[in-house]
Amino acid sequence: MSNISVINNKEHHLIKVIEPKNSSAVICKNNVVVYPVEYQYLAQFQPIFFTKDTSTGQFKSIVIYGFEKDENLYLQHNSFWEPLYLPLELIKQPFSYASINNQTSLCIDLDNPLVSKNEGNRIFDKQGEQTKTLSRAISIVNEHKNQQALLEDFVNVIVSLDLLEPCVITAEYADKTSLKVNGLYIINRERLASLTDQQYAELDAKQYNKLLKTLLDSEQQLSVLVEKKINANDKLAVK
Amino acid sequence: MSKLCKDIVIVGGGSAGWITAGVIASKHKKGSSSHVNVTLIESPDIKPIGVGEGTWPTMRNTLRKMGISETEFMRECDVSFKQGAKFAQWVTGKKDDFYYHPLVLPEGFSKSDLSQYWSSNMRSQSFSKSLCFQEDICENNLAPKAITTPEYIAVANYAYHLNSSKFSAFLKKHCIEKLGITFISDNVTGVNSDRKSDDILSVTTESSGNISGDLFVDCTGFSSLIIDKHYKVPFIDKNEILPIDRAIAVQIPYADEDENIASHTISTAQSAGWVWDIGLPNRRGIGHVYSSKYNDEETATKELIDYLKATGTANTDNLTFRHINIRPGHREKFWVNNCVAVGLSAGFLEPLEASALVLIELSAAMISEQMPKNREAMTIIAKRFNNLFAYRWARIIDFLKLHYVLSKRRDTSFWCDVTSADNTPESLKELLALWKFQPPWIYDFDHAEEVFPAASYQYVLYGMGFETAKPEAFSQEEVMFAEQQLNNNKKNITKLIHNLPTNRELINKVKQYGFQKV
Repeated sequence: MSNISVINNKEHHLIKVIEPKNSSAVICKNNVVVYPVEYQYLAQFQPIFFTKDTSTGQFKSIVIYGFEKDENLYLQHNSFWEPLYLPLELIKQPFSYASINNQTSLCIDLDNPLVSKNEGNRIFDKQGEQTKTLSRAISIVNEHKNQQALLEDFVNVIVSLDLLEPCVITAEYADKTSLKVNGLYIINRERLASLTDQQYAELDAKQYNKLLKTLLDSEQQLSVLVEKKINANDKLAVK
Repeated sequence: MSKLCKDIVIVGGGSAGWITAGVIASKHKKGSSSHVNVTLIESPDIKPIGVGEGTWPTMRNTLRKMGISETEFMRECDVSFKQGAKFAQWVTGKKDDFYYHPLVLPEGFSKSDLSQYWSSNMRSQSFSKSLCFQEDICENNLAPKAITTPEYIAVANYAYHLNSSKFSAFLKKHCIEKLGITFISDNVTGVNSDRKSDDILSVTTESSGNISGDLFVDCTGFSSLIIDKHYKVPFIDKNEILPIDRAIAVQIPYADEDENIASHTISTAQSAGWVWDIGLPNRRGIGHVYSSKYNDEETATKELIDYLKATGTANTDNLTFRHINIRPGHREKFWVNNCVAVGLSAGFLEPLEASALVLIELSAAMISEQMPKNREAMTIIAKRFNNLFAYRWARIIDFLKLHYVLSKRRDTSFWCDVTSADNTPESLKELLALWKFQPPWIYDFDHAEEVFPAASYQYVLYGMGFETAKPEAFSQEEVMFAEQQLNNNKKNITKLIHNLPTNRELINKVKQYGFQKV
């Protein structure tokens, strides 16, 4: 649940926030939305997929942390984050923008586990001025907002060019039980190769060619993810 | 060398004209090896009759093949999802009397027949509820899929309810803008045929001159301009078998914009006919079809108003009631010389199982897929078309009649007469005699592509309480298989009721976001 409140130095004067990288509580799902600005970096470690938002059916790019519900294969011993990089979607927590009466305001989710009275850094100092923690949060939330718009446009373009295709991840364990993951989509290489010059030029003009290449490169990391799953299951597997 | 068949002229628009145009033009595109030119002449003065607000699941494939986006179609034609039909008060006439004819096959149907097991062990629960999860989805007003399901793909097999005149306009736009059909807005005033062969050479129009062609499709509705007025092909009247010949149609707004939209057609039997109730996103389309032999217009209108009041419409004063005459039956032949009739010009039956649009789709598909290369081939294809469609009309008539003959109602002279064996086709009598001893199965029908599969007969037969002789015992293996299927059905019900959005929720989401192609 969440309890979103517009930030002000009266009500939230004593609030502290814990840095996301110091907490395992920032994610309770097995995947997280990632944005174009992050693709290049993420692609070195994780495969980037697309999936449909369950409430709108619209595509979003994601990285996967696990295959089962709430599974996170990157959280070792349930304590700290193995990946060096925490996506924007996670590090913006517990802050967000909300539009109230046509006015965009910076908000905080008071029910987020990163919000505390004892641990972490204050967002307002004794004089009620914003701290470095808060100003950093503001720039992250701004970046997040810009990236949301960019992702939406990128998705619209690739969907209109029919560049997404469903992909199913399957692996079989040595004991014959198997892993099957549906609902993921990747870039259709054949379709990409068959675009017209004009379509390429349009992609190029927005520098979306680069993003597509990065997404394709990221697929190489799939084996890393599957291996993690296999190790976690402690069963020998053949892919 | 026999004359090539290159120019197809469709006379008349409406659902029949535009579906036929779209199906032919999308298969025989310019540049393809089988390219033909398609011209459609539509009168600017004649309004389409606008019947047929219910489709079959086949419509999904028909639209997909035409290159239509399901999202656009749904947004522009007031479309809602249809998952079959609920027949109320057809068996006993009591308030709680109903059965479903869903669109999903009975559980395990592809492997084995379970109707006998159901009949022997669990007759206290209805056939469709025991063996098909769709009844529960419908009873809960749920959609057949989710917003994350790709376009045209089903979680539960589905068809559509739609606004028929908007549908024609939508297809027209698609045909002209995307499929390169030549459109002529004009009135056809004459038909010109070859003196010797009597093949149609051209049709004369008021202001566009003579439009010549190699194949003419008569989509002129009840006026049947070519098939009747020119070729005088006899009409085979089926009033004796299906006595319904009048319809009164009305449109009812929803009480509020969150009211549930039924995801099935509701058909409620009356004293001399039945009422259809179709939920579109913005209104309900309701109509009373009845037999004028047993009921006058005033009584029929009163019955319709009683239905409206019983289903939540308090004020019926300012409603517009449209009266339509129906002549049940069809042409003796549908394809003569170089003219084929599609739609109402070919025939019409009461809309009990939404057969009007599906017959158009089936006709258009055969014309398109068997498009004659030349005049010589056309004669053979015409013969086959006539045989196949005579068979299909007969099967539809049998199937519609089945809904009547199994009724236990004898409360009016209509129900006494309509259930009598005297006017039941021999083909249906034979099937019913056979089904006393064995359930409907695929061998009962001649064609691989039947209009109504054996499963549909099972739903109606057992929904209406028909008894097929029970076997003496079941093997351990049979029991295990049956119990497994019944269990699957229960699991599916629980899962789908939990996961599927309501029909209204999904329709709203389609408006806002649309389906993805993949």
